Amino acid sequence: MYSGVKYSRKIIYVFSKLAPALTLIFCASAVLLFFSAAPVKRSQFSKLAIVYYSDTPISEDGIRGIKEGLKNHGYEESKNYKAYVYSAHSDSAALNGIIDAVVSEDYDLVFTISTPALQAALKKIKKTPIIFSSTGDPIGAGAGKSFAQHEANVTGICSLSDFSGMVSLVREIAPGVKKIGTIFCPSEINSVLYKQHLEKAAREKGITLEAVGASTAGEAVDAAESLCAGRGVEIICQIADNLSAASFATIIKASGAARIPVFGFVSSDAKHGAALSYAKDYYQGGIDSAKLAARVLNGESPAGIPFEYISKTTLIINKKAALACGLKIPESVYGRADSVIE
Amino acid sequence: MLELKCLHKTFNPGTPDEVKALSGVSLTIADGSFTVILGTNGSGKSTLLNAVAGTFIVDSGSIVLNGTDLTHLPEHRRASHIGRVFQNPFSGTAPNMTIAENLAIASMRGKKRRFLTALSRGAMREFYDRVKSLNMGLEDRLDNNIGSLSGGQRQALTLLMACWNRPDLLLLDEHTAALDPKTAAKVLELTKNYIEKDGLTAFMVTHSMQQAVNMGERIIMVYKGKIIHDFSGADKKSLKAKDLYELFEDIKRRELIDPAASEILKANYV
Amino acid sequence: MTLLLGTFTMGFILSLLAAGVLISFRIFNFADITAEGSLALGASTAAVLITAGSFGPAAALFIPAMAGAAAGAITGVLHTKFKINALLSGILVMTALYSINLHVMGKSNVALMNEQTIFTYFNKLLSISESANKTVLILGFSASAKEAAAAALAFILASAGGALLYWFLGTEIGAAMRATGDCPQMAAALGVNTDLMIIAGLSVANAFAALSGALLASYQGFADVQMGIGMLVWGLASVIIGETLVREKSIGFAITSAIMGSIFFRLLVAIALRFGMNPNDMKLMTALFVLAALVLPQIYKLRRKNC
Repeated sequence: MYSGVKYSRKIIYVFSKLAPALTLIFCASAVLLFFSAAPVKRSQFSKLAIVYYSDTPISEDGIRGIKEGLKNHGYEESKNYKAYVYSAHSDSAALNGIIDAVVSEDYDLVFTISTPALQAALKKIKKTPIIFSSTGDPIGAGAGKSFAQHEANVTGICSLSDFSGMVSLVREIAPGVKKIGTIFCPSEINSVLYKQHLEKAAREKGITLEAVGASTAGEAVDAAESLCAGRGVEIICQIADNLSAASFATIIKASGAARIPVFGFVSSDAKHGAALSYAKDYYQGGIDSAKLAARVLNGESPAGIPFEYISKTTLIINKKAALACGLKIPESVYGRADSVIE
Repeated sequence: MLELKCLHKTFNPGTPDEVKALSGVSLTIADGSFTVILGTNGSGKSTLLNAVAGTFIVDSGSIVLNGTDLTHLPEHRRASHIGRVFQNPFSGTAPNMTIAENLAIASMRGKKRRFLTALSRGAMREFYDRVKSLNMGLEDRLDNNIGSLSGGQRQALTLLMACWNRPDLLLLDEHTAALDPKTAAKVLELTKNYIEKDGLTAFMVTHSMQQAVNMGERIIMVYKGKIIHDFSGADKKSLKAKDLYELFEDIKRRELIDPAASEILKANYV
Repeated sequence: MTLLLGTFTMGFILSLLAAGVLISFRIFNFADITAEGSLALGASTAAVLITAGSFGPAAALFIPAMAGAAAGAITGVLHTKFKINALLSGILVMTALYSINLHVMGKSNVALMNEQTIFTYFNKLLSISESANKTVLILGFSASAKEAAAAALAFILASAGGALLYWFLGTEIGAAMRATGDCPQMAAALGVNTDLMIIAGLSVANAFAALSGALLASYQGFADVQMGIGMLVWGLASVIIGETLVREKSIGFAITSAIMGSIFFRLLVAIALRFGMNPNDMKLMTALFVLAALVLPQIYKLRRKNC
């Protein structure tokens, strides 16, 4: 006759098999608990965390800007502050782990770069001040109701480019332009937002925007070719997103072949072959967010600091690139340029 | 009753690897009979079995079992009528599942599987009793993975599983070829018992002439996808291994001569 | 304590993904990358349902799971009916899901900051206020009540998911599914429709991945179209590390070990982060953990043989 195994013996058997795993999990938990509960040494050092989502030139510019900006306000790395830089490598699970680690450590301030980093921080960090940058739409991301009315521990720099300024520039340089173009990335929230803003600014001045979507660097090649061929695009006003930052050379190559000038929203664009760049840089965004951070570190509450736009717009002209595609830039524009690349 | 009518199957047609595996096999097998298929390597004997089982669909011809046309049914649908044991002991059982779980899957052959626990107490009792009848001491190891058993034990279980819900047809594909002689004898013994006890219609492929002589009521010899000999009744009973051996030698001699060459020879000298 | 609770919550949420990967990887013997797309699909569907507001918390888990199941079924159909290589079928569906997720959300990122998610419902159930920072004592350590509740809910859901999967794989259909992966020839010979089982199995696997994504979005407060990227590796790592921890292969142990593997892996990552590991090395560390989990048992076996 078949007889089942006794329950008590079964339970003991199961636990004996699970024991090593349970022990290891317990030990690891204990280690984590012990170290996260351990008092953190206080010193004159400010402890700052910089959290970003994906490894892109934009993130790197932002970090560079933050460090430069802190220096402007008397903060020198390893002299009176230490910055811990965390990258999630575009991985949600890692991002949450990083935020947990940041919460359990006694940071004085957390910088976030990019929208997902801000969102993950918002959900969990309720006391430590958060200073965001490289976020196009902090309201949409859930940081507050308006630029002045927002979560008490959050403030930062909204990285919206000067779209109407750019369109005015286009009008000034080439008054007859009917159609401008850009490549955008449907999967980047900022990119879609910028595209919409540019579209609106252009429409107000009677210009239509031809936008071609691309999600990967591979698709960007095709998108650039398609944008430059037969669509009647007269000037490419390339919005600043991660994808175009990574594949800017592709855009320059395609537009160069078609002799279509490129106007960039990132200052390094001019150096990389755009006719001009009219930029509210992520680098400048970093500098500006460091300014807000300095105020917070000096005791001001983030609750009272409204969100700001990137403060400065830099105009850089690449004379050679402009000439190469037959673009004549008026002297008045040259006069306003912050720098001219010969 | 199993009726095979003019079965044709060509593998890789139109390529250099083209193989005419079945070329016009017709055969009728009576209910409750035990037929042995004999043939050399590549003669098409296993292909014939697989055609019946539905491993592939034949190019032309028809397969009818007890009035049901199986010709175009997929393998798993035919399985409700057919039990199978394979040459490779690893093919007939799931190694990373327990004996009981394997039996549970077999016990549902031809029935509708449900969202009910496969290892109910009642089922476990039945598994225990039936496995005990194998006399291999496996009834106390129902919770062990089948992968931990020997080839012979696995083959015995596969046989038990194939016969679980009295199949209309039992297909045995050289199921003792991979076993050592002692185990093979034991498995053959079990096979005989099951077939006799339940009066199963069985179809066994072998290349052992001794087995062919000892077992079954009918011997079919297959060569190049065709049936070349069919012994039954008294003919089969009087048949000795030596006779079969001579028939084989004959085939071998024929095989030495290329078919095209033999055509030329025939034309010139006959 | 907050760090530990957060780690456990993430571990339990991702253990549902690990359960899904367990099905494709251990039952059907291939790593189904559809899971990355389904996870994001689950997250985006949940985000849209949650922001719409008129659906309860159960619907915001159930509907995403069904969406994931549909995605898995498509991979299964491509693989079985059109004879496309399993890995390639997964890649195709994952790629397609990227666009579909963008359409589902209408944009690439949906914020769920102050929305009613299953976590806030659970807080309400335990009468924990959303705004006040209530703390509780756990083993003598003070911790945020919300974080503790989130960890508890994740534990309950992961256990329920694990129990459901255990029950399912033990049913007549579940057993047939496992046999399909273990020995397809045997399964077909015993009347199992192996194609259907693969399709159904991948559906279940991706339903779990999507459920994991729905919970992840609710927990972290946003859904992003890119959040599936790299997730298959987490799932595989959990399964493999779990198997190394629990050296039993039967189905109940396999599910438990996947959950434990998920937790243990999250703990290792948290400890590494806590000790200031350079984040650039994180992917390298993930690979090393998995490698260690694969290699250590072999070294252990070799040494036992030599003795």
